[in-house]
Amino acid sequence: MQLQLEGIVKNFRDKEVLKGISLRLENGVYGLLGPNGAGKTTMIRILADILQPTKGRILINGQDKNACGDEYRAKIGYLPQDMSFYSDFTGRDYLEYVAALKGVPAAEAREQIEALARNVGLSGDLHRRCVTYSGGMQRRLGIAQALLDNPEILILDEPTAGLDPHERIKFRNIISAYSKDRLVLLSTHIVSDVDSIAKQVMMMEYGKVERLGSSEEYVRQIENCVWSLRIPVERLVEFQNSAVISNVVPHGDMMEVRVISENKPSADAVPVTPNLEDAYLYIFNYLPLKPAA
Amino acid sequence: MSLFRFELRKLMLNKKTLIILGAMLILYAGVGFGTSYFIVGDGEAYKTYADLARPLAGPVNAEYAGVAMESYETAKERYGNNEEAIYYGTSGDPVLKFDVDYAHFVGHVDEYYNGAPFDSLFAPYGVNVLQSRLTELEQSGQTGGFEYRSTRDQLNREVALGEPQFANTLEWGNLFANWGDTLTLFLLFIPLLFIISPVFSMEASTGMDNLILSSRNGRRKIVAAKIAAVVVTAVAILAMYLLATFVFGFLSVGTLEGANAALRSVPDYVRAPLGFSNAGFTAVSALWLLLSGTVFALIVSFISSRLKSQIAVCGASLVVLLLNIGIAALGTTIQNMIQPVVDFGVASFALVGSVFTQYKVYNVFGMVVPYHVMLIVFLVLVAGLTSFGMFWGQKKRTVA
Ligand SMILES: Nc1ncnc2c1ncn2[C@@H]1O[C@H](COP(=O)(O)OP(=O)(O)OP(=O)(O)O)[C@@H](O)[C@H]1O
Ligand SMILES: [Mg+2]
Repeated sequence: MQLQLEGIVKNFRDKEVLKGISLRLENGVYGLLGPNGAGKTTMIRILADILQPTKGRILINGQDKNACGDEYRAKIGYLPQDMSFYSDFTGRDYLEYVAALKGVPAAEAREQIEALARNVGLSGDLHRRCVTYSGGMQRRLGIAQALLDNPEILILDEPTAGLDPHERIKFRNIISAYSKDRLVLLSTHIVSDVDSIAKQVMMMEYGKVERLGSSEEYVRQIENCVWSLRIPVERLVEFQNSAVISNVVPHGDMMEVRVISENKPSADAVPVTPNLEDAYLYIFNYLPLKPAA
Repeated sequence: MSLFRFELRKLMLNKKTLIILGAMLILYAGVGFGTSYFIVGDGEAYKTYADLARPLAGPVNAEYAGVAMESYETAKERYGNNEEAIYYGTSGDPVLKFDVDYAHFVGHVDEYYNGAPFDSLFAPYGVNVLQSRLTELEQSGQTGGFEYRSTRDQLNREVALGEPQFANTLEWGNLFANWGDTLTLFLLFIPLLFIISPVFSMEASTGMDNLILSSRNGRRKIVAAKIAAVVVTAVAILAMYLLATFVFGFLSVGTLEGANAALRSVPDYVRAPLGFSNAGFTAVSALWLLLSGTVFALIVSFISSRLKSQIAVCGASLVVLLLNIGIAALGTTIQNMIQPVVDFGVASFALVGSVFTQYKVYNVFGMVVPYHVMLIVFLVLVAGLTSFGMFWGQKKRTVA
């Protein structure tokens, strides 16, 4: 499976939301990171075929998606950023409806629904109306519907937003389990969601995919740019205006602060091992502060 | 479950809509029963009326015509020279009402020959009137034109159908009024519009468009499923209306008297260019309402596919539905200027009362084409265009 974006531009009236995105994606998990308004959802909607790009095209295994007709969409499983339900549908109705939309024959749909419900832990709740589900259950229902008909491409738009840590881990495990032999594109703000499962991470800002690389590559980039130092509580507020802080841990009266900086921020700062979250902050919060070369 | 069954469930087979339909059934039964039971006082009064009418069925009885005319004058003195006032004034008095009806019948027979003073020059009526118009055209050598052919056609029909015959058709007249009057628009078409309106717009307003439009069958098969669900829902609602008004209407008097009488015995249909019996025309009207109502449902669905909120869909559909009534309020001058809009508007094509009550033809490249044939072609065209529009729209649809 190969998915290729060629010079994708999307304008809403005169606002350019995607500014020419070209990517080549293959099987495996791709994490899509970026701040609010970066254009993640817009790009995902174009991939899900519910939005048309202003310019550019999408190729699937070398063929233009618009030439594939319904068969392009048949390959896609999509979990939108905002989940929605019909108020009188139960979990089972919802899954059966999506199965019908995907053209899965009834008998096969029933089997798939049982299996998926078991895997996402909703077997006992399918008879309940989905509007009565908790946020975590709704997301798991959402992933189950996306996985119906065993799609080759799985597109998940912020699937973990609003989930508690336990649910997030469950969710990550489900995605891991289903990521074999497919292309999974997962957008999120939560860096740790993709850190462990994504083979490649995209960083997106202002309608452009700035970087694409593995987690290790990002981390390598900021070696010697992450520091730990202790400062008194009173100075913290002032300090955060001039530095990018990635974490704070209280230690009595002092605060242990993790700082992103290319230069040693103070004499007592000690270098620490960077992680993907630091890289994210470095790219989106530290670099923009520096005047462009 | 297939897509169609889901769409049907979303549209009709859900608790909320079924409750509404239940309420509508009660309303329709009430309308059917109420309008027919109280048409002349009560059940007893109806019997009195029917007993008076039975021996007089057939052509004008000159002797009774005199009696009826006298009673009619009495009624005019009592209630004023106004048909509506007389209608309501006599509704509790079966004997007087019968005489007034018979007097009207006598007048109708006269009109059959001589037309009426209120007839428009452009829509002449009456065997003698038509005959003299034909003679005029012949004398001025205009026998090749459309007017000559349509007038001759109309005359031939009138002669073939013959003079109106008297019969007790109270209940049938009431049934056709329930099926083909402006009130039908409010009782039947507005609820229909309301129930059909979310068919597409709900997907935009609930956000389910995200899933639908990104799925394999979400751009073509779903439209077919939705159209099928709309047709089934519309037919179910229309059939419910037809059945409830019919069954409860006749239940109230317990007789189908007049079923075999000619349609032209019903005062409102005395000029109808049709040879049906009342039973036959019942079938025709029912089919007509099923067709026109279903096409209207397709128009509403099309509007629903273009707008994102159900309220907007209802508003726009109401405008389409009531356009004619609005135009009628503008007065005859404007109405004449935009006659085609009036003739082919929903409020006209939906109602048997405006389609079949008089001889009306169109000049299509010189051919004489009856109004209802024009309407059938028009309805089929509208059904085709709106369906195509829905398919095309869904293909191009995006979530933004
Ligand atoms: N339909 C639309 N009309 C106009 N502008 C839009 C529309 N959809 C998105 N935008 C704009 O495009 C930009 C990108 O939005 P998008 O939803 O793609 O961002 P995102 O990266 O998904 O953000 P978030 O993380 O908050 O979900 C935003 O500035 C948004 O206001
Ligand atoms: Mg988004």
